[in-house]
Amino acid sequence: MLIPLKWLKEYVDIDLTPAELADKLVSCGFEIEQIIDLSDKFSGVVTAKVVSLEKHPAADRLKVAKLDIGKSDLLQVVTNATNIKEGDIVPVATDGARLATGLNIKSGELRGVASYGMLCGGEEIAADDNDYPGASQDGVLVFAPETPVGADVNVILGRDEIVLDVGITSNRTDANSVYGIAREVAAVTGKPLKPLNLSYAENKEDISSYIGLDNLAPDLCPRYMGKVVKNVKICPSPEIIKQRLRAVGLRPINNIVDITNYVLFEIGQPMHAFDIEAIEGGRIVVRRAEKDEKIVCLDEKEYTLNENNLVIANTKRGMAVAGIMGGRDFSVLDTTSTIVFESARFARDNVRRTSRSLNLRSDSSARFEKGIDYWSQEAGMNRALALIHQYGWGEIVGGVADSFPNKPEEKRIEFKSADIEKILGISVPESEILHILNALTIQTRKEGDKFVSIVPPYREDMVGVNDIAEEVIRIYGYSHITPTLMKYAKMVVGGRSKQQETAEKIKNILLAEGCHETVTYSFISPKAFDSLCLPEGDKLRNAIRLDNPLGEDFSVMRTTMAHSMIKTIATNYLRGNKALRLFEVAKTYIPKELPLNDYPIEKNTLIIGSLGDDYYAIKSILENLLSALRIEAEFVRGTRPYLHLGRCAEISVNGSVIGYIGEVSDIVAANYDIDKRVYIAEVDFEYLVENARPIRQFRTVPKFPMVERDIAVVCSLDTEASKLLKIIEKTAGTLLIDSYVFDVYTGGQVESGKKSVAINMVFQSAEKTLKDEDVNALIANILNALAREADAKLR
Amino acid sequence: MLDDKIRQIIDGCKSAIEWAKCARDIGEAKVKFLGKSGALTLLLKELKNVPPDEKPIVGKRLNDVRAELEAALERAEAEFAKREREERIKAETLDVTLSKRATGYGALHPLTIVKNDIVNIFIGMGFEVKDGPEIEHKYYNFTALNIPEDHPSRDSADTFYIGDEMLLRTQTSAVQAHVMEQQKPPIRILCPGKVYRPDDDATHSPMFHQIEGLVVDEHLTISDLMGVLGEFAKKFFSPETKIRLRPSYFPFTEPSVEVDLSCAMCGGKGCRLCKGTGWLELLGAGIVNPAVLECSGIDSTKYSGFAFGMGVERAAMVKYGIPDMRLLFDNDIRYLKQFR
Repeated sequence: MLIPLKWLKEYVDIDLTPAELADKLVSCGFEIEQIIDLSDKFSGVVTAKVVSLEKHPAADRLKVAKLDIGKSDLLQVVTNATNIKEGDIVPVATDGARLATGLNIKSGELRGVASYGMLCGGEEIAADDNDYPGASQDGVLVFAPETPVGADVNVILGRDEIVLDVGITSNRTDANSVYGIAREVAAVTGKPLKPLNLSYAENKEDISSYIGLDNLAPDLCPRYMGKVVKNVKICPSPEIIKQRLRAVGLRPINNIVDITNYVLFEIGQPMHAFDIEAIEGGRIVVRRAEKDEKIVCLDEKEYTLNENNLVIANTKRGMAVAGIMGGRDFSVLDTTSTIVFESARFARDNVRRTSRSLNLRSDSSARFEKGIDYWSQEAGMNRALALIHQYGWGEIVGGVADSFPNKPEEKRIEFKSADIEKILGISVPESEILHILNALTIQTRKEGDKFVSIVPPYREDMVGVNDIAEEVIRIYGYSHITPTLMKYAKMVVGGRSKQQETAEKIKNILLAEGCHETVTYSFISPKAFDSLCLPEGDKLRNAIRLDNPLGEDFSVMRTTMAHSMIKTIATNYLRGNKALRLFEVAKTYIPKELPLNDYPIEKNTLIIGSLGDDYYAIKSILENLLSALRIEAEFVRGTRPYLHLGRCAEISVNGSVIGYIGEVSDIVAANYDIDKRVYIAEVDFEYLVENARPIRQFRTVPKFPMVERDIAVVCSLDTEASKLLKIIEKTAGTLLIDSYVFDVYTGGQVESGKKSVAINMVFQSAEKTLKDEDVNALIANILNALAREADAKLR
Repeated sequence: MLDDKIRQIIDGCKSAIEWAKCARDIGEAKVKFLGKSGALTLLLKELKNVPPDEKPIVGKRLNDVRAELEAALERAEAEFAKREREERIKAETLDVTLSKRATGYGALHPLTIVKNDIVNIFIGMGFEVKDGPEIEHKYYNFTALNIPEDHPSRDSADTFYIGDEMLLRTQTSAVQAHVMEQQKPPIRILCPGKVYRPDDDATHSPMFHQIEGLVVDEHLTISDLMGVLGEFAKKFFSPETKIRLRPSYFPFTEPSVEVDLSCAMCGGKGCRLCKGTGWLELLGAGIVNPAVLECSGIDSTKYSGFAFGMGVERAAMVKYGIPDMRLLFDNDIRYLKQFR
């Protein structure tokens, strides 16, 4: 919200610098986005009267001007201007001036004649016809003859103004205006708030002889006011109104349009003016639009409406899209003699939705979207009419066309000072409470031991004692609060749950394995499922789609972490990062049904990805992780559509699959522009967290010696190591305490189609020292079992 | 005769030691002279032929010689062992400045580091950590938080919708109502998590992380809120960090405040990071709106609460001087490694 300080000072005296005022506003809840000095576009330019204008002795196209700038000496300037004559009043940039074009002016010589400045056109002082008549023309700007000489041109243009850009929180719609901010400034600086001039005279006629009003949609238009002004004189506004409108970034048009804008900024009420000639049937009808109803607005574009849009119509057709923009054929023209002023409240969400669906915005719609309070319709109307009256721009017809079906009741809040203390934790003197609330125009008095506050109609945000406490402390000052550490609260035991601690532990294990954590977006492109080669109908394609994504690439909620990880690896690879170990723990989103009507299954999922490793490196990361969590899992050959057919295993615990590991297939890798081997593993993180087991009871280590044996067996190439180890474990029983494959060999001495597998075994008994015979017998049994069950023979 | 033999053995052994080139030569000499069938051992065996009265003298003599030779051989052996070990060690010398190309230790993502830092501070003040759904009902994200039906934040320009009833939560405050429905006061929780809003530029990401805090108990005040957040600020940045409350507005708290921290970079003097103000905007907070408590079935005449929320990205950017929020989601290993 732009607040020009001179305008503000009309309603409250301010003896602070702009920066001090900004600090005060911040302290009471209004952020200052910017302090704008309108005069800083240029400096050092003053008005000057051309005393003499002579030809340059050495250049045909130059002239030498002598200028009166209100000082004892005349100022000599060489110029190429052709549009000036002696006696004109013009802007001159003097030595040291800075112009809007970026030019800095220095005294110098032009073809042998001294020049102490430069005559300016509109461009040099950032002005066009809108700022000063004639400023858009080429050549030097010529001011009106009555313009004082030697004056700062910023002052002549009304640019000697500071504008505060104030951030207004969405609850304080009442503060979206000069007067609203004046109310706050008065309260926070202790100066009185000056009243608005709302007085005007009406003629003896009644509005009913001009127009009638039918409000057919009170839910979307809780208040509608119309007043008629006849014998309207359409003319330009006076300079003060124009300058104020320019200061808030608006273009002055004519007095009637300017009044509606002026009131919008001063009171916060959007207004509209209709030419009464356009109100066919003599009635204003507030109604929902019909399906496919068309209207051409002031922007000359045609809009197609429907029942969700509100229009202000006559008995034949719509004259305005309510609160957003008037129709082209109903606006005030230079020939208009009788107008109807509209001051209404429209439902803010309806204005917002209509504005969005039509892609049509205006200052008025922006204001309605923020919300307008119930005080402003009357205040805005009366302020507009007071300006008509003050400047003698028309005759105000008596009576008002008014629809206000559900007048809100007056709100009272009763409280004790102890209630305030209970919220703030400090005691504010009762005299301060009374003073602050009354200064904020919340009429408050003491009744016995209670306070009674009457909430003004423009403070719709206030409902209870918490609001009172906030009003008191924001003016009294948060600097008065003394910090305490929950001195009356009960002792509680906080901390992380077992599961949260396990989650931390898992991450720490992965760090030790050299994995870096990534964070990627939860939404992905639906094309990802094609990149992953998921077949039609794959359940991972059953993803939740956003209604309003930021783009197709961010439009569905991921059902697997695979895409995000491969894409991250691809991005890194493209940038030349060739060795990576990454992991991420994030949710996948599996709908129970689509379209979604209830919570989906959100499952924390762990993905590990690597580039520059082999399958076994990633598998060992998983094995280390699982063993640290004391989860006994098996790796069973499996498939995933995006993984290498021969290099994929499912991670299985007691027969249920909790994840997979594998090499990304060459086709999928190519889809991501990767020509190297990528390994990924995706695991149900919640399963890990829920099923990690604590350390078992302590066991002493058997004191009898361990016996180690190695065997090498020859078996078929497709016999998996896990099968051999399982046979060994089953056959050896409890005496076997460890076994692992330490070598696999194919080639020379092994017949083709076969491989030699070397296995190390460690035996130990808890009861005795194992003798060679005992171990030999076990080995014999093991070899028999391997031969029988896996066709694996001792090499 | 015996003397000659002894002399020969002594000379032979000493010369063997003298001419030995390595420990093995000494070993051989040992066998040759002192071994089971060594020269001296054989001579000892001949002791039985010596007349009985000479036996003690000859015996002692032979034993003395044996001891002398043993000692000489051991000395020589030790000398060789020492020399050979020195040679081996010299040969085994490495270029200790060489390294193996190791995977190295991984790094947590800066957002996780900062989240953990924040969570740990509040855990120290008795908070527990709660999680909630990211795909949320409209009710928990808005209605239960006292956000009116016509509030702009419900608009599709500010919220990702999935049908009419579900959405991606726009704030971790959505966890509040879930917790308050299930748990009765005293409540002291922290809810870190992902939230979503349709913005994408240098200071906004469509997915970002918030941490919400909620305390519900009897007699909680703005002073308590200031105390708790003041302690947090000191631990998170430095013991010198100060906080300042500014009035603000959130539908679910009343009164509402913005909490500014004195700038971590300049200490409050004003710098580029704090845009010359000396303060960093880091948290929103306030007294829980009684309507929110009542909505979750908590008696607002008996209990009160305070809540606060902060952006993890913002905290990470301030703490590590990260200039663009999008870099936090870039995942280039060269960024990630910096947080080892």
